[in-house]
Amino acid sequence: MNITKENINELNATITVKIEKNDYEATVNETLKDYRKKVNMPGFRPGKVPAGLVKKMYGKAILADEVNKMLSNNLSKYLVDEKLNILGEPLPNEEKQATIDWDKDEDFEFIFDVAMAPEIEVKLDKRKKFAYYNIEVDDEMVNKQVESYTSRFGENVVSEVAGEKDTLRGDFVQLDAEGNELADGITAEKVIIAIDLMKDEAIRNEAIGKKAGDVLVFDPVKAYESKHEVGHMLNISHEEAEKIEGNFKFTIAEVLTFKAAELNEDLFKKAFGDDTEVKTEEEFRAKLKEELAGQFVQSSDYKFALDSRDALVEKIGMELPEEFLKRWLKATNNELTDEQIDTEFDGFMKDLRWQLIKDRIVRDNEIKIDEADVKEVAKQMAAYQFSQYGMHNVPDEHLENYAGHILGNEEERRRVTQKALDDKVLETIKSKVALEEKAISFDEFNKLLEN
Amino acid sequence: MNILIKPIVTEKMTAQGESLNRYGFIVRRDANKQQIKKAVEALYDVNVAAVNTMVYGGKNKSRYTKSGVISGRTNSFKKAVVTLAEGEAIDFYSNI
Repeated sequence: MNITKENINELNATITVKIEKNDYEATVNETLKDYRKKVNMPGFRPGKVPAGLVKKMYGKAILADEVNKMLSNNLSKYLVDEKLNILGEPLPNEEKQATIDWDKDEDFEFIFDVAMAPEIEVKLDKRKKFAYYNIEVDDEMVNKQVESYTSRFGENVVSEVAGEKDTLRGDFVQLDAEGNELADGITAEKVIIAIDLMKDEAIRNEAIGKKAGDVLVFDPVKAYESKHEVGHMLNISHEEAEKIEGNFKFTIAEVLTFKAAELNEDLFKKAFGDDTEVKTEEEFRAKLKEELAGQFVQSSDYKFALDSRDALVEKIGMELPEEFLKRWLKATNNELTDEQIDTEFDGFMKDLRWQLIKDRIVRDNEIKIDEADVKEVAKQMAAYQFSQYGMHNVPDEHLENYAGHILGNEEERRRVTQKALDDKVLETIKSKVALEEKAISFDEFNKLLEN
Repeated sequence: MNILIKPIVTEKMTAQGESLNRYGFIVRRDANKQQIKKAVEALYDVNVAAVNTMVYGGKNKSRYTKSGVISGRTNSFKKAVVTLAEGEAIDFYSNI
């Protein structure tokens, strides 16, 4: 076994691996012996097949297998031992690699191309300035949020006279052409109809101002301009709904007005759980503002991550062995066509540069990820998911459970670990460079993001 | 006629071939050890260390069938067990 490295230039090198007969002989013989015991061949009892025959049939495959195994093991060991920082994976050299004759050759020589990661330096100091956007929460947003809370917990209240936005509850009875009730017509009881959803203005105006007990005669298909909707309203099948026409008599049983919830302790309790400390409207607004600000911090961080990444990638120039990387991409992703590689190559290079910079930062600052970090991130993710369903105060043990569930999945776990690392790197960048804090409104921030 | 009539391919001989480097042949009745040695060396391109020979006598065999007793006799033959020099081997399956 003999591994040598030859540098072509700073970024490219070849690694030659020589495997000699006595390197593999023992293991190959061992495997053959093992095979002999198991192999099943007609004409022989199991385990009684002559060694020569087994060797003839399986020897080449076993040899190739063993040599291959030895090769990959030793190559990766070599890469680790020599602390070589390579990009991608070693690829067989297409020009120098001699063809291998498994029948005759006893010593094998493999030549690989490798791409070396360039040595880069990431200097983070206060001389570098990065913009950090603080999104301002204005009153309008808080108002909107308050409104959404009050309407979410609002309810329908019976009122006297129907207004523009009210709903009516009553019974439908089908009428014939002369305006008499049809004996076998369609009827529906306790139907709720919304006045502001009526498309026909004349009918809508007629409905406004009605009281409980009043009768409204109209063509529901004309009013709502949708047979499908009317079908649901009258609780009949789609086929029947297609056929209905003519007027219906609607006897109003009650008029319902939607009333938004009042800003009082009841509402606060409904919104934030029974043991909330929010007692007054000011506190409620403050709390909402805080929540919004909390959401925006994530957006700010996200923007900062993008910006700092772009800036660092641009600033820290490095040369990469593009030729080799293209070859590697092609070799590892069979389904990619040349065109796809060409178009996506720039994005890939950017990712790679960022990855290298990130690795460097991790090394320079001795950032380490341990189990607790990963768990913390998983818990945050769990909490975020729960809060999306409107559950804000999820008990810790639930979160723990859910986080454990997330980490149980191998792929998720890798993602979470990656995220934990990214977060730490970002924090490091944030603490090392000078931050230029800028206040900005939400709309403008969105515009920035779009660019 | 050839000195070597056919090799003996049995489990017993295979086992001996692998552990003791011995190979068995059925040989002409009147062949002597020197002739066998030469014949093996010429045919398989190996060096022979020793030759042991033995003559098996034929046996009477009779079988009872519906149409009476059938009786016959198995052949007698000379068997040679050839020990090769160390490190050498004969591959009886080379043409598979």
